[in-house]
Amino acid sequence: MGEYHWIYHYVWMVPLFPLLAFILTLFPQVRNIKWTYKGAYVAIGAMGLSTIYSLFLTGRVISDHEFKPYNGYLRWLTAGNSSIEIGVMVDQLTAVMLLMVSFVGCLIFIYSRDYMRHDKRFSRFFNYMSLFAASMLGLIVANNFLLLFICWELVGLCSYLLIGFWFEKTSAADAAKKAFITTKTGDLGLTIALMMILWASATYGNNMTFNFVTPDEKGFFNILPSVPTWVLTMIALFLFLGAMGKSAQFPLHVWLPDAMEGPTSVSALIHAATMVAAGVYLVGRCYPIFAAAVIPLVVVAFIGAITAVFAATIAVTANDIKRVLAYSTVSQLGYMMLGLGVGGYTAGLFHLITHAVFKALLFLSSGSVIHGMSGEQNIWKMGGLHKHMKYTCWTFAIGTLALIGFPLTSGFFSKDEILASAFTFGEHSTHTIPFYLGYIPLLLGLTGVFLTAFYMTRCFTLTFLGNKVRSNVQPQESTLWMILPLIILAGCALLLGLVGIPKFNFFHSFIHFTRDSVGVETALYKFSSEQEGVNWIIMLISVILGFAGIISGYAIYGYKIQERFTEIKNSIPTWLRYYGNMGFKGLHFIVKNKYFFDEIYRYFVICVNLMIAKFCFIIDQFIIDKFVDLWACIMIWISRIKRWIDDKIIDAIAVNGWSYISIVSGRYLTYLQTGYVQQYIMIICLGIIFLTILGVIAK
Amino acid sequence: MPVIYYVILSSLLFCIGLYGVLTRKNAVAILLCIEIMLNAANLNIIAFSRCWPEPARGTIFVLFVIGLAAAEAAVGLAIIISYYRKSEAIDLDNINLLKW
Repeated sequence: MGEYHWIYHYVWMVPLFPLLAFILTLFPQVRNIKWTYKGAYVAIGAMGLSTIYSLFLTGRVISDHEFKPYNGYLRWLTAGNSSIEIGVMVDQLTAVMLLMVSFVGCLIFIYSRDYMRHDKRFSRFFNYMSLFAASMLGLIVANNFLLLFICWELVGLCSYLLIGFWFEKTSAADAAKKAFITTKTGDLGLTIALMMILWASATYGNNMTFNFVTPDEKGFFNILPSVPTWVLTMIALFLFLGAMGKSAQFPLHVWLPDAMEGPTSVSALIHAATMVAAGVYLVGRCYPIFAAAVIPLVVVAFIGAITAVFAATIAVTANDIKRVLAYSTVSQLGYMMLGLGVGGYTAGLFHLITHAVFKALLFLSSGSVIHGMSGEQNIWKMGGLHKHMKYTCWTFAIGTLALIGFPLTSGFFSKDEILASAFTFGEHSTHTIPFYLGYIPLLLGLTGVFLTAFYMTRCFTLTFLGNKVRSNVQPQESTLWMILPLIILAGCALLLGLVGIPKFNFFHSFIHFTRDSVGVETALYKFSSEQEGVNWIIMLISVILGFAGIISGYAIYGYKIQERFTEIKNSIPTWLRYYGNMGFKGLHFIVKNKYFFDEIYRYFVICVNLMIAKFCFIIDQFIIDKFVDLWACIMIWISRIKRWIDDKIIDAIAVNGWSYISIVSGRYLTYLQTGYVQQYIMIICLGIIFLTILGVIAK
Repeated sequence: MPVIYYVILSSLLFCIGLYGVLTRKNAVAILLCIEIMLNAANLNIIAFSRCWPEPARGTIFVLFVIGLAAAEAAVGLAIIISYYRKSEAIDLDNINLLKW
């Protein structure tokens, strides 16, 4: 441990700074200090310190040539010989994630200082956000599953608190509940996986541990070769269940769109950049398990692909600007899982980083739009904002381009890498998976590219382009505190791609997954340490699809919409128009209602839950309460009997009886006092004789 | 002469004195009987002191008792005289002020 630079030994300070900010902002004394702006600057300062530390840490990790992961821990719970440790682990993935989370978080905090400034619970907002930042950073540096799980749950809690921040609105409170319960359903899987890990490490490794790796080769990843495949498959599937809950994969995606009830900063930080990335991070961290058991990776890929397209279709029909971005987030998370599932470890994680940047950018600029439109969120009521809110318009445009994967933006490189990995997966899978099904992830991914371009162009056009605003609100540009993070994020969205350019892929050399980490070699996944070449065909196809999406989006939703629609309608022959109209209306109805997922859950899951709850309530009310009442009656009767005993028997004998004896005996014993001395002397003599006789008898 | 004769004599005297204390009506008579009891005790002590080698052990004690008897008789007579001054009789049947 001594050969590690001091910057590794104090990594635990990175989550500590926001935790201190959380504790400090609890106190009104801190909040009332003028220069902390009601506690906001404490939180911003803490995140800034974390960012600087992560920056230096990443720099050191990059510059260390012989880098081995750092593992620092202390014993926490001991039971006999085995003990659970907590500690931190630093490897390349940790460093990059720390940098991303703290940097984006810092910018969002700066943004929130102005966005939330009229809120009456301003300080509490920064309190909750600091706790969230602390737990997210803790999750990233955790070196064992237990600490990761603790931070996982904490992050879920903060999500609940922050979504329901404006809890006076019923919809917000309901959305918070929905988010928490849905992620909790996934967390059930994570709990089972944790239990299995503990059991497996004890059974197959002779050492019960939660650790990922330890220097003395006792961590879970060290003993992977000796664990049977079916155990690893189960563990990986349950881990993915947890990731599905947190990262809103199909079918546990229902909480994310409703989570937009929270403030926009919350949506940006939690539901775009960090918390939903925790699931992807989990899969990435546990990649050795997934790669050793191949089936879960295929499952991950398919579910990710389905999610990507599914959410993109719903985003096409969304009318609230934040909902569009929410479904876009679900779709992009699907892409990340897709990337990880097809063997593109680097691709999926690179997309995670770039997505965090440009999705946060998009959310923040949409918040700026909402702020400028005095709370209006419906894109059909906006329009022509490019004249009034220039900075917001340009940053949103840059974010949109990055999301679509416009050439040379960061999103382009990351998405392209995912598609290339999907193609490689399809190629390798023709032997193991029949009927060319292995190409499905690639096809769904390409469909998603088109849909993403389409709905984002739709959103941008309806919001910013056009001549005039479609409602009576007079929009105004936001203040510097809100615009500066937007500009910084826009710059990062453009420049971040440079670290992942295919031929000079610095990111790949930094974060990669090699075959020697896995004990088993499979036909489906060949993890090699050298980078694959550029797949020009896929790149070309995805660029063409992107442009097609942009053009069709602009064509349909561009200015003079009504004339456009009538033009198109009049140019289609009547019979096609009639059937097309019916079909289109039907399809639109289904998609707009989110494929009725919420209704399905309500009637099949929540109803059952309510019925069970009512049943338990009836049992409680009519059976258990009756027992409680019966017991109370018995106690009352017992106490009445005791009182009778006390009154009539004990008082009569023990209390009044003694007094009666005293009085009566006294009355009669007075007659002994006659006043005659001779009688007294007589009694004395009789007493002496009596005692003498007693003494003689006793002898 | 065996000691027992003296002990019997002194106990007889004691009982006579005791009977007198318990029975007589006159207070002065009771004082006389008390003197008899004391002298009986003296006799007992002297009888037993005869059995010891050293000569004068019991006799010294008897001297103390005689002195004590005299003092006590004086005190008793003083009480009787003061009571006689109050009420003209010293008949013990009528002295029952401590009666309930």
